[in-house]
Amino acid sequence: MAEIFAEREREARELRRREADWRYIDSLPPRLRAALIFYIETGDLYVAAKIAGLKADEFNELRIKARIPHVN
Amino acid sequence: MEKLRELAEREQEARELRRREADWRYIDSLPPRIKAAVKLFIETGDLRLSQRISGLGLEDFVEHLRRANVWIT
Amino acid sequence: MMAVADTSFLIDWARFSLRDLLFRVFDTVWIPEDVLNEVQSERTLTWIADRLASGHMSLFPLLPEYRDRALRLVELSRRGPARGLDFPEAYCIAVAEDRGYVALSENGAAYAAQFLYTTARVWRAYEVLWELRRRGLVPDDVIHVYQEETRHKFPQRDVERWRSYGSSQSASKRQGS
Repeated sequence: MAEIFAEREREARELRRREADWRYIDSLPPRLRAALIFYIETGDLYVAAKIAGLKADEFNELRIKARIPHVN
Repeated sequence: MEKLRELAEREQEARELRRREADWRYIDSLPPRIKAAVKLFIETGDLRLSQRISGLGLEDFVEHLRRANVWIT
Repeated sequence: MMAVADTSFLIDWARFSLRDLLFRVFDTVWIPEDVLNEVQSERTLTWIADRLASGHMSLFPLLPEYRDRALRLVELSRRGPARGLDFPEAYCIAVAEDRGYVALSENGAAYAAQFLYTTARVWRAYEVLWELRRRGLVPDDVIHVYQEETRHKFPQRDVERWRSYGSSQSASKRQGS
């Protein structure tokens, strides 16, 4: 079971990395950039929003602008 | 009691170190608020109070301290 | 062993080339949310975000019971004899006190607090480096490397203590052989 989850996590991370608009991400200030990269690596919206200093819905808007998919 | 004396001595040594090694030319070139904050830090070692007076974020204030050769001990 | 870190520790330690050795000493380093909010520089933010992603760091929320204890610690500290604590450091100490973590701080008032009105252990970078050296993970001269890279100076008495420990260890090894 743990292996299945790990595999899903890995696929989700690769998808987020692949789809992200890196040009947009690199243009952002350090805090927002760090938060988006964190989100790409982990899919953890709550902590990513904290890093960004944004509310969760605000960060979600940023995620969408950066074309990072929310992978279920 | 011994520990209290040691703590007091540490404070004194730290203050002397800050005074001695500070780059006063750099400090005098700073805007008034930040200059006042750096001087306060040199005298008291109170990082948070000095930072608040500077009006800067902690990292930015610490960066000024580094540039002013003021050691945080 | 776990730790809770305040901003003053992180913004220096993040500049150290061997900064990830921190996680050889501590299984998890907790970062209070207010501490995260204070961090601004790209270097420090990127390091923290990477370590949050790897699970070596975790966010610690602002909880009412620790906030109250932190305020109490600030009050106690204001009665002297040492320098008064500020809330962010006091919060780290309150968490460390209750949960058995080590509080990581470069703040002098936080360092003094452990001898005066809290059972929490408070480590500066000096104590972390000491532990790393004790475990054989860093060389003797790391204290100078740290000072150079972070522009953080250790008090002379601590530098001398470091040297004399190093000398006594070398002497023991010579006697043993």
